[in-house]
Amino acid sequence: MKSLSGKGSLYLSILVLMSIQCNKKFDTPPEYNGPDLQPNLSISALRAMHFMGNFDHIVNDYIIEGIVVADDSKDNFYKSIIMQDSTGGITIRLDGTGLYNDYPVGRKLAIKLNGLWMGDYARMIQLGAGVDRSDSLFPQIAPIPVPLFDRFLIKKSLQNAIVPKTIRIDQLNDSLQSCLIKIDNLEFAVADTGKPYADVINKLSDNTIVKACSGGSAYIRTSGFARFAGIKTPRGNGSLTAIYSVFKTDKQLMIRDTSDVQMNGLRCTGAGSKLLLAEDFTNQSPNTNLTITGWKNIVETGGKSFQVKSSSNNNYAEINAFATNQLTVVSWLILPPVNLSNSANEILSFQTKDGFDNGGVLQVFASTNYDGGNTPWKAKWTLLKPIISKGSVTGIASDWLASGNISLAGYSGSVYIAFRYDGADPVLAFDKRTTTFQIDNVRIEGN
Amino acid sequence: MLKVLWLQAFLCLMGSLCAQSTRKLNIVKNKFVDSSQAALLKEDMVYDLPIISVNEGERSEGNIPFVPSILSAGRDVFMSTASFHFGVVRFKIRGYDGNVFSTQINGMPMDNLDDDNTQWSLWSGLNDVTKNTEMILGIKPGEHLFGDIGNAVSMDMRASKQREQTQFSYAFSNRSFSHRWMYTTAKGFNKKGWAYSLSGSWRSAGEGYFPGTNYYGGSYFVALDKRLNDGHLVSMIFLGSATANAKQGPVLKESVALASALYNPYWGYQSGKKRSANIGRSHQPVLIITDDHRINNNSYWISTIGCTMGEKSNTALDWYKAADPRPDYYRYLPSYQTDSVLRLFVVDEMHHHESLRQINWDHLYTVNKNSREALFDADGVSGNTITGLRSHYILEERVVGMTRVSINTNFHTRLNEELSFSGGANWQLQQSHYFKRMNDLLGGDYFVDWNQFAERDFPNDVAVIQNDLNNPNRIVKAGDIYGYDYLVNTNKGAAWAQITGSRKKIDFFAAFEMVYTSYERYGKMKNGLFRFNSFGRSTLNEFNTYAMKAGITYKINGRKYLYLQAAAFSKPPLFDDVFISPRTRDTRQDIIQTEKVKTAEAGYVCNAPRIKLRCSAYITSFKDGMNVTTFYHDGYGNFVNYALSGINKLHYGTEFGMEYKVSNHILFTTAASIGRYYYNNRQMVAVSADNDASVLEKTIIFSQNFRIPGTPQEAYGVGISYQSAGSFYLNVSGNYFRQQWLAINPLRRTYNAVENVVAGTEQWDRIIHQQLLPEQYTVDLSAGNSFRLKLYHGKQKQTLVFNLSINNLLNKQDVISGGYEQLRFDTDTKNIDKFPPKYFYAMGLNFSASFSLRF
Repeated sequence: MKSLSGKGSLYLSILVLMSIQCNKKFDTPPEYNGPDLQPNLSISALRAMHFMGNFDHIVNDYIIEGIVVADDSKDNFYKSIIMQDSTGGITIRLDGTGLYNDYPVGRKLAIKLNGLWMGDYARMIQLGAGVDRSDSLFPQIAPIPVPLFDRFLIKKSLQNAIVPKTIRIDQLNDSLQSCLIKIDNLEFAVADTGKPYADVINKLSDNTIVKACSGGSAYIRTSGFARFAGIKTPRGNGSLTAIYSVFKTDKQLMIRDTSDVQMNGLRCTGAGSKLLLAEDFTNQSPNTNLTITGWKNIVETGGKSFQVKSSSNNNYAEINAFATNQLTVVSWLILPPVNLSNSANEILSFQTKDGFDNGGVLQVFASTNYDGGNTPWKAKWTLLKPIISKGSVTGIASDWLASGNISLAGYSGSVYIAFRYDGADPVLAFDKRTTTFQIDNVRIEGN
Repeated sequence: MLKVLWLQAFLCLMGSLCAQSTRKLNIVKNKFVDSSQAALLKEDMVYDLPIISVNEGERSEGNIPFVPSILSAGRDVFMSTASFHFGVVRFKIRGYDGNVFSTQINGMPMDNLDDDNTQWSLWSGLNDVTKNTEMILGIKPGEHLFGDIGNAVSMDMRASKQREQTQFSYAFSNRSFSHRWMYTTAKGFNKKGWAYSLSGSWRSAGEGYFPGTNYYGGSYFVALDKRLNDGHLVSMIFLGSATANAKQGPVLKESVALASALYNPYWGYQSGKKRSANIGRSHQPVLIITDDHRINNNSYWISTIGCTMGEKSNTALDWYKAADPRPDYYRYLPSYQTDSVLRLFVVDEMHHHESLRQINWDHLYTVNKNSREALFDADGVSGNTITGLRSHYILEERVVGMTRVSINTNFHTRLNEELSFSGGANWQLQQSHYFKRMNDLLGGDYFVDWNQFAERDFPNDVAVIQNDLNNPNRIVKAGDIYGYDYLVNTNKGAAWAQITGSRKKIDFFAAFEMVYTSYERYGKMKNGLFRFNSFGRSTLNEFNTYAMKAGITYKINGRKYLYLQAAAFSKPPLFDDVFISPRTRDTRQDIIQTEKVKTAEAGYVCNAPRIKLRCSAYITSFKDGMNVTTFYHDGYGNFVNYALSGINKLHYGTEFGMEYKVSNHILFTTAASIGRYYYNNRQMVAVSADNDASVLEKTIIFSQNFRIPGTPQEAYGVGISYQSAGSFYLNVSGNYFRQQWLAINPLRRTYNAVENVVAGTEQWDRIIHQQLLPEQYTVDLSAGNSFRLKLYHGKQKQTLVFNLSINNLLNKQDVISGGYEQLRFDTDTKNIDKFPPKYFYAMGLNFSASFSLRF
């Protein structure tokens, strides 16, 4: 009896456990996928039926199917969506707003073409519900009225993957109209870098020019109503994903959002510049230890700091080991960290003079792991190779010597530049390395 | 001097009005004009008629200038016949707005201080206990209140004033409700001096006369009286009415052509069931404690303290970065298609698919369920990222929470054989809390308290898009306050005195009232666009106004009277007409002034046994009125406010009512109200947007001699009643209405509107002319009978009463009860058909059948 009830309670607890573990899921209705309508025409075949300048009334029971590749969620596309299948793409004009709620990028869509019209707007082929001849000189395809959406457009599954076709800029041609394409190694024309995509104040569309390193260019056309219209174009070089469109003979690329523009690389040419840092010490008091906000003036050994000096009304930084009586004099002058994320092709330049050169050394380093603290020698520094004045044994060099353009392009993110002085002033007469170095016009530029 | 002029004007009128009215009209017709009158587009609410919101974005209570029920029409022959005959349409007495009528219950003023309208909804459904009503016509003297230029209704709901009986009744109707159950009982004073009364009712409709309009309302009433020995009667009443009803929307003629006159754009199917997007809810219980002190046979003193507290709200669809979900949005309609083939195509599609004419709820849910979005720095916490379904379609609830405390005292005494004195004072404090509440996220997880209009205008500014900078990026869930949130604090104090006298041939009265009014806005949100004038207290607006009235009655004999009376009022502008955009900031109209009202009336009354008759003529002028109207303008993509000022109006006309006893059983009644109501000057309008401090447009409105809408200006009724020797009665009446005008859009009567249009062309006329609504006639019938019988053993007999009333017996479905020009006008194309007028259609044949059992 006892064992039975023991067994019973065991079974019971297993049952309870099982029933707790196996909570039944709530029933949910299936996702709406629309009727299972199969396409009987490819988009390229449909496009092939069009003669430029004509309006074609489609009276056959054709059905095309594709995936939405651009919608109006960022307002760059207005009252239209772009749809693409493996053979080509086409623009569908819809007389509504907020279309992306129903036809977002990734939505598979079938279109019953019977009753629709196909035409072209300045050679850009479009589908619509009629022909608007209100301006008799420029008849246009009329968008599909909202109440007719469900009659022609059959919504299918969501979140279908889209892979843009990668091409070269010189391969752009009409068969790629309304297709999502990707072009590598592009950059904005110099005059169009760092400027807004469109005029967001007056809500005016604007064109910006993109160029390939290998030659060839196209327009990026952006609506003034686009939510990203006020964002500035990047300066670097990289890839562009866009919908290809044409306006007469102009090749236009339309982006869906700024994430379609991935131009963080180096530009093909160094044209255009952007000043990331500049210091000529003009605002510093002469004959003091150099203290500039953000700069570090650190003595590693020998007790000698960089100082501000003045000559002929020009301020500069100076260091020497003269009269220190130290076996080693090592001092660091470190620039504020420079953020290279928003620029490309950065170069460092400065000028130097040396004086009473007897072997003291000024070196320039770069680091991305220095912590900004007072022990820079613990960080990892890479030696840069500027031209530095030397050999003025009997006095101070008469002219400033340019360092040349030192590329920082190999660095990314936040970078520190340091001047490191290495000298000595032992009591004994030999091995004195007390060379004076003067530094001026430190600049970092990028584009 | 002025008075003399008025008198003269008046006497002229008396003599010649009927003959003159047509001639006058012709003169006016040749002038082009313009006007305002978005003002009348307020919510109407009449007992048992559907509650309809006319003004887009309107929050105010409503406007029931008409008599609440036939029973309160009292002994005035015009009022009783008019209320019986003209109840079918939205007839307004003398064309007045609701805010010049006043109502009190047990001495407590019941007008909402925000808009001066009587809140009938507070006690709707309590028909059994609101019968003890006195109506003071126009500016006639009342013992309990000073009143206004419109009628004053004074209800006595005290327990001991209710008829001592128990009544159960049931009504069946096809109007706004289908079923109504009422139970009322009243017990007179017992030996200890207590009396009580209870009443309750329940009204419901799965669907009222119009599709998609359901209705649920429960009302309750408790009253207790205690008679004290020293002449005091202390009373307490507590009442409330909780209702929720789906509304009928105004419709375009185009929609009616696609569907029917029963078309209602406010509902749609959700999972196969009808659901309305526009549901009005109201529950504002009232507590009133009254002390009635009979000092002696000649004097009494009534003091009241009362409190009303509760909430009233309306739901509506709102949407964020998505297409307009309203099925009658103009871009979805066939007329939006310029191509004739496409237009026919759309007509065909919409005509055959009801789903295209109604809200598509399933679609709204689908959109919300596919909108997984991330919000960064949610609730203002840096780095706090919320991911979930962000609703693009929501159901918002515009709420007004109201608390009002009133203290009122009123003294009446007979000074001597001839003279009586009445006087009183009251103080009212009202706090109205206006805010928006998330009613339903429609399948989404959250909404963000952003100003989407600002977001569009300033896409990269995270500060200005905040509805409340004190709570940036706030996540809104169902039940949360969002959008706007502010208080209106109003104080009103009044004191009045009145002398009435009665001599052998002459009765007379004179009365004076002084009123102090103050109000302020108190913002509870710091709007990102108006961070310096949205949060906290606004300037206090203070007004001292006065009113006086006097009249004289000449008693030709005991049955025939001639009377003459006049009044002058000044009235403070309403909060809503001073603050241009209280939802976002405390900006006020540039010039704030009180409205001056003058009225005069003369009449002849005959109360003979076989014939009762009243004939009177009146003239009323309103000067310096103000009004702010708000609506959604999708050209500006924003809520736009029209701030009108300097509104002058002139109302004059005659009223005639007669009952003639043809025989002991047959009574012939007739009533006519023939008036002319004009805007009689050029108004000013300043147009501004909720999201923009600058004035978008400021211009003169060429509104002179435009007609005041919202009521037929002429109404005629004829009826015959048969009353059997027993208790059976039958009433048949025919009514005829004309001269009802469409409410105009002020912007169509401006210089800009007709710029570059050739004067006198058809296009010119179409832009500026005011539309005359078609003449209407209806036939109504009512009948009833009662029986005394013994339903069960006992001493008492019971009474069983049957009533049937049928309105619009001919089932005319095209009766337009009102309408308005949409407040948008396309100044580019000057095409008035782009935003055509919206109309309200009256019910076709509608009836109510009831029985009651009394014991």
